Amino acid sequence: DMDMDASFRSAIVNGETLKMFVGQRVRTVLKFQHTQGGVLVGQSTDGHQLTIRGASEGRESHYLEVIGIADNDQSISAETCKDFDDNFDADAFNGLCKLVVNGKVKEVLL
Amino acid sequence: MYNGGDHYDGNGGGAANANSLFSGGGFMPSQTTNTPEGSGGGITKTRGAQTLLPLTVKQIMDASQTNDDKSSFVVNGTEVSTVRLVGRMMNKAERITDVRFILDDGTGRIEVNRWANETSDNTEMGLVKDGDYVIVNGGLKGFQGKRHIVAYSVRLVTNYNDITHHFLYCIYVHLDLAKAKKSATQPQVTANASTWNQAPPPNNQVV
Repeated sequence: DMDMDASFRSAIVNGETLKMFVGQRVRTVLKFQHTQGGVLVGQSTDGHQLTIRGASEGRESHYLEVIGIADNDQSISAETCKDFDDNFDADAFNGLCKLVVNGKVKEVLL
Repeated sequence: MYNGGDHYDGNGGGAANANSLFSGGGFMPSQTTNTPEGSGGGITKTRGAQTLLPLTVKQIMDASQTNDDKSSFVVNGTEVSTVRLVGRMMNKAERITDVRFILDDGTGRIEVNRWANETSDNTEMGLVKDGDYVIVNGGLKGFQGKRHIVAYSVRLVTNYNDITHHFLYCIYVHLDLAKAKKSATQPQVTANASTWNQAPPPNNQVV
């Protein structure tokens, strides 16, 4: 039943909160930096360097939304990627990430 | 009232303070609100009071039902009729009289039905496809224990800040409604949306 199935939910995270969801599905937006050895390297909205395995796209100076499973506190195995253009408000997204794990409001999104 | 979600005014690439998103008018649950047009441009007042609530799918799935006819839902003590959701479109299926799809906003998945009565309806739905982020405005309905949306507007997200903005608004509304609900039982405490706003009021505030 779709109503009860939570297996496809994803937590909105930044570099700092990613470690709270290791092994779980997460969603983040990061700024594309470069690819190396088959993985994509980007900067999270709070300045952490994250590695994305299996990224399907990534454009110079663009932001990228990644949904996937958190391998560890610095790496995500991507399930889907989407270009989020170059005018993304990183600060607002970062603020959202902090609110997501705030005890007073986490029931809205988690 | 929550038509602010239509257009995100953050500076392109700039460092817009997240607090500024909550500046300006607050949401008062008792106020009559306008229901936005499907295009997101003009705003018309519909018959009867309708509150367009920005919600997540999780909030909808967690909502309780009113006791009378089990067809109305309550979120944070407020009866919900019209909702705004933002998420990715999946499993779009076009039929003769309507278009159906699943909306996945990361907090859950919900079925959306968009009746195609006019040519403009078909045109609107032709602009969106699986994998796109869309803004859905519609009525929350329940049938045989299952919740779904009957949408009157489905618009493609072209500015991805709208997604951030929507979730921030959901959080804002959640806190505002919870505060109003609490103040209803504590008359000496006045629900004040601006206490949630950290930014100081502008000097040129017009009364």
